[in-house]
Amino acid sequence: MNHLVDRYLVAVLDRLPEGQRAEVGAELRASISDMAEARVASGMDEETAVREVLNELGDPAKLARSYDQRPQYLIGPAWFPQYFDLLKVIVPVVSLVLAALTFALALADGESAGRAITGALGTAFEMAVQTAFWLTLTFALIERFSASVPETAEAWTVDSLPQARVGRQIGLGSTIFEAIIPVVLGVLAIIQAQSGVGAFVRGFDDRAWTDMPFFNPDLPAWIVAGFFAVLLVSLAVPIVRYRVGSWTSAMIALSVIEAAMWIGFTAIVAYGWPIVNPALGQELDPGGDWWEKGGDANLIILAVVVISSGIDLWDAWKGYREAQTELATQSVPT
Amino acid sequence: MGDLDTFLQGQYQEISRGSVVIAVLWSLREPQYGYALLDQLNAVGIQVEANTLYPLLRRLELQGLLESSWNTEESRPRKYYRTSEAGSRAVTQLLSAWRKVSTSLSNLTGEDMS
Repeated sequence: MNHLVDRYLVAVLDRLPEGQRAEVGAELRASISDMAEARVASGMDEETAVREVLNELGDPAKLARSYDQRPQYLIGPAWFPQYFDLLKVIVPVVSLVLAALTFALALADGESAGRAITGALGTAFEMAVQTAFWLTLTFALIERFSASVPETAEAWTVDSLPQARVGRQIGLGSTIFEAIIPVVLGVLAIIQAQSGVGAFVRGFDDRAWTDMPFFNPDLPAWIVAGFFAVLLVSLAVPIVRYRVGSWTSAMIALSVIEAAMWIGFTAIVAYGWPIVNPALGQELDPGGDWWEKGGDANLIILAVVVISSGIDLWDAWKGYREAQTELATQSVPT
Repeated sequence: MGDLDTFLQGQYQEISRGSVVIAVLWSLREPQYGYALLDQLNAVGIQVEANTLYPLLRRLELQGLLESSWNTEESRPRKYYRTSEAGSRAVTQLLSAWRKVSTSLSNLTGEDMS
């Protein structure tokens, strides 16, 4: 019957760190013998006694867990809040930005919209899984190898409460900042159309001072008109937002439309024409092709538009959440 | 088992867990090995399972509240535990904390709970 005890001990010790096995094993063997002996003394036959004792000690995996002091979880309560806060931010941001980028690059590569969307969804999924995995692994390692529990700088008191927001949610400062960008772009475009001076290239190599437009001057008229339309909308959106004053769901919709417009417009132009002035490209880099349609310059411009649109949307979403929370603190449950 | 039963079961375990640690540290002022201690505790009505007590002894030893030595003179080698200096101080504090809780509950319910 002893082999039952041996099998039981193996099952327990197998789950313990190497350093604890001999000690726990010897003690457990003695305890099992003691317990069985007491039963035999009260008239039970040995085999039944051993079986009963092992049944009483129960599942070896459970018993091993009570001996083992190592954490039985990936991320414990000490780190979980930090982990989860980070997870909530990083996973959507990384997967959305990279998905948008994949989408834009596929379009610029001449893929169909359908395939570009499929590719973007695939990237979003893969990135979400990857980011979540690596973040979880990092925190699981911190949980195991960091000696100290995370400390907040000082103990919480009432004074640690964040300041209440005074007045409107959408301030004049951010409105002006957002409105300035389309104005500057528009003014540059108008100057370029009037006098061919969009950007300057000065004293390149040993050639004389030249000035030439930065943007391709040969874009069709409807693209130029479209560009001004996009700028007008971008100018109008922050003004409307300021008048409304807070992030409502309508304002979210407006931000989504604005982002879609910018990305769509830039993608269309990048797909059909060089955005950077080909003459400027030749001047900077004779024989180069980075400025051509489908070249690096178009992709970079598209990427900048996609990323800044993503940031705008993220801000809008944060503002919306904040507004919702504030509403909730003032409403009465029905 | 319903949610309520599970909850009550958990509460009961919370209460008894604290009392078992006190009982162990108090009893082991006299050196004893695992099974004998189990017997002794059950005899005075402290309900503790073997698979709870043995790992607990080891954890208290790792915490420095118990000391141990192997006795090889008897029929089989046994590990004897005794309460350490730190364990003695701890059990005094834990006992007075336990009494404080008990007194407070008595004051509340108007019954003598000891």
